[in-house]
Amino acid sequence: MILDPGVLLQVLIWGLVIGSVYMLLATGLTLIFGVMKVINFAHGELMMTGAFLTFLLWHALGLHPYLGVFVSMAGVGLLGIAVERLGFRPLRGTAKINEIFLSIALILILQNALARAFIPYFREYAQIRTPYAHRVFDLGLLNLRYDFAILLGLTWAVMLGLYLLLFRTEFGREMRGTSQNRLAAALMGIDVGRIDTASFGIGAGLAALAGSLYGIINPFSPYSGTLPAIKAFAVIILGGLGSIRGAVLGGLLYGVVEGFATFFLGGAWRDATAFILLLLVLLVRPEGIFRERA
Amino acid sequence: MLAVEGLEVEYGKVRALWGVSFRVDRGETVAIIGPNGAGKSTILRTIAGVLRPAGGRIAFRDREIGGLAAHQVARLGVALVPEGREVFPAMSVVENLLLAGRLQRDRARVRETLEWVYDTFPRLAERQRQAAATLSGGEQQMLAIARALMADPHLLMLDEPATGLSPLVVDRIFEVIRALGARGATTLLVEQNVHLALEVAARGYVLERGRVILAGDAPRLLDHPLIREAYLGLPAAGPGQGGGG
Amino acid sequence: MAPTAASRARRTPPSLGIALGMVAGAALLLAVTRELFLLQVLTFVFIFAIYAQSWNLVAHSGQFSLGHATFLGLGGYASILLARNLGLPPAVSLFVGPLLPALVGLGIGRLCVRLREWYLGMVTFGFTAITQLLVVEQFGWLTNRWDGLEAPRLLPAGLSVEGAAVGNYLIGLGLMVATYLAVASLMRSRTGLAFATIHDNELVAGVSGVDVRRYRILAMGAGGYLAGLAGALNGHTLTRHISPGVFGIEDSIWPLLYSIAGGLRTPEGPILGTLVVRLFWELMLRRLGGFESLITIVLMLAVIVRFFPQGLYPLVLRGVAAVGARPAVRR
Repeated sequence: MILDPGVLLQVLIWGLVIGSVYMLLATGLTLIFGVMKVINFAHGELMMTGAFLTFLLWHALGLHPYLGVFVSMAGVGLLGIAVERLGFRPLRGTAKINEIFLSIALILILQNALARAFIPYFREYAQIRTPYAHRVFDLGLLNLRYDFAILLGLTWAVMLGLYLLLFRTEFGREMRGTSQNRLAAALMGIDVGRIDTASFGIGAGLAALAGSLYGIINPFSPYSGTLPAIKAFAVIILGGLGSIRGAVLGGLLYGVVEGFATFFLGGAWRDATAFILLLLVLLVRPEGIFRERA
Repeated sequence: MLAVEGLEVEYGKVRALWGVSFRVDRGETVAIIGPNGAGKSTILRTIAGVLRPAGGRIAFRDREIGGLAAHQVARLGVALVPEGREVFPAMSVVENLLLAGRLQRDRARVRETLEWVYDTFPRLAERQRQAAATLSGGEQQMLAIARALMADPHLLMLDEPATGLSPLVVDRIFEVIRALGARGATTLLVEQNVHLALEVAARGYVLERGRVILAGDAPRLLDHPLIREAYLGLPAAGPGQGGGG
Repeated sequence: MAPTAASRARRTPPSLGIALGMVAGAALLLAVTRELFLLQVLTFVFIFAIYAQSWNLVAHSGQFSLGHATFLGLGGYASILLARNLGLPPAVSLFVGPLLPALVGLGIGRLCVRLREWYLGMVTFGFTAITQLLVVEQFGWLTNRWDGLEAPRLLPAGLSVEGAAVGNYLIGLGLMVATYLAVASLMRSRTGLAFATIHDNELVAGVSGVDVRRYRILAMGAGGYLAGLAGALNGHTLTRHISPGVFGIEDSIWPLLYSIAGGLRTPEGPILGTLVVRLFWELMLRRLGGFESLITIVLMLAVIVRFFPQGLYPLVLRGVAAVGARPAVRR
């Protein structure tokens, strides 16, 4: 029965879980764009780096995936910091095409580095198996997988942490200030270069969480990050570039819409939802939704 | 307080300033006047560290600051109120102010300064919870000035504070600048409105095409034939002079 | 702005001379060697120089497309389907097929006419993925899904292996040179000037009377056709097969790498860039694996971007000028 509330709830939960992946990616992208005015096209590849790191820690060292996630976030966060320092910073103030080139070139570098490092050892697809892979909470109407519950909890804990950082600390205020007006921030004594580094590090860390999450629920390869990243692009365009709220709500909503579209229309539509939405918005109100601050 | 010597600035290959020299003493209000595109804003932005000088020296409190980054200059006690206000649009008024208050070492004094700033601009006190983007142009200019004051700077620099505002608001803002001067603040003011500028300033420098062409005490400048003719649109006091800008 | 574009045109050598030079060089090589592998690599260079030329033309109008594989793949599919299903000779379908990506280019240009920089990048980036999806899922009955299609050969059957290689080489060369001449004259025309003005400052272009909208859409359409031509040519000659893999990210990134390496916004840059990068790539593949080679290539390009932001073509020009062959090519 298609309209069985239990099934619908199940679809909703699935949508929220996959929506968490999009939310984490979109939040990182929009955070980086807000501060640096740069789109990290390789965000999906940072995500997969996170997935492989968690995978490696679990597979080779036997580290519990839900602990490995944090190591992976820190590792990819450091990678993000290196990318900002060695890559984007020297290009600041030069032609825009240079930043675009670097951003897109990082895709090739990361994809191929991951493929080089992992494919020979783990064949084409990897998956992270948690000890709870087959356990479910029986909630009457629906069966909730342990993993889903943990993933949702973990994501929201991290998002809460990010919220507190951004809106309850001095550093967060500096970060938001830089995002809203870079010149004024510098005039207020804020070292905007440091904020750039931090935003890229945080964005990369969130991507690593998204990747680990993805890797626990799906088999993955170095190339699996592209499509989720494209969806995250759609989400931040729809939600307004630089807007964290837009990224959070947009990401979750997108996941849920995708979940229901897949369920009612079939798998072929899963990945098309984003673009149909994007095209509609571009057609109907090309400027209305785009707000870019110089 | 501030001594600028032979300052040169280039935008790419275009030179904007050609050996500009001037000074601002402690407790003094100094105005730089001149037509659009003369390089007035460039001077302030270079002192503030937004632009890098191509040559010359900028000494602030006996320390060379030319080439420092903007945040370093700000931390030394130079506050620039930039052209076009540049507030943090999505932050509330009070958040805008507190962000600048970080520049003060002493936490207790931040509260004190905030209250004084609210006394100076009661409008801001009324709107302290409102997002800066929702303020009127005049209120945003007040916020920008108030924000600079929150840092309790040694030197306050104002870039065209009267541009685009109603006469009433302009009066209020210049009242505040005058009051700050009376309290002993050191202020460097850039303004196209020569009359306004020279009324609050003790001394002035006239800038044209990136060079200082005239300098002196404010009353004297106001009487100078060149100023009367070219900037105030009055007949030159002395015998008629041919060439202008 | 206008003066820069005009003076740029003046200080570069005449394109007809360069075209003749390219033909002469390629013919000379053919006279010296018939090494199959070398011919194939160079044929590849010719075809992908057309592709890079297309990207560069669109970039000349200020639009950085990050989804150019959309056009490459659609051109290939359209031409192959026309030849297979309607029985058109490949020599005809080769030129008719790219009309599809040209149309799609006009559509994308229209859709994205207000987007710039990162926005345009993200949206065009996404188009490749959606096109792949449509080709595989919605048009799977036509395209044979992931397995792809055999492509009819452009050259008559019955040629020797060497004859076919030489034929492909010459066809690739001819079309590349023709494309080069077309783009070079387009860039010097009023239209090219309008593109350049839009690139430098869209606002100023609009104010000074350039129909920004029209020219941007036009550039995407023309880019779509040329990229599609490269895709069709590649399918009918070198790969003889097309699959949805053509809509991958890598194929969208290559023309950007080629153009940047050679020199953006000159008609010579993409050709030089494709040649240099591709030869370097082949050399590296002899020592390293594919993954390492790709990483090395990208790093090498990063060095070019860092130290020669104008690409390699100005270096070549300067080299020629230094030799004193042409006093006109001063920098």
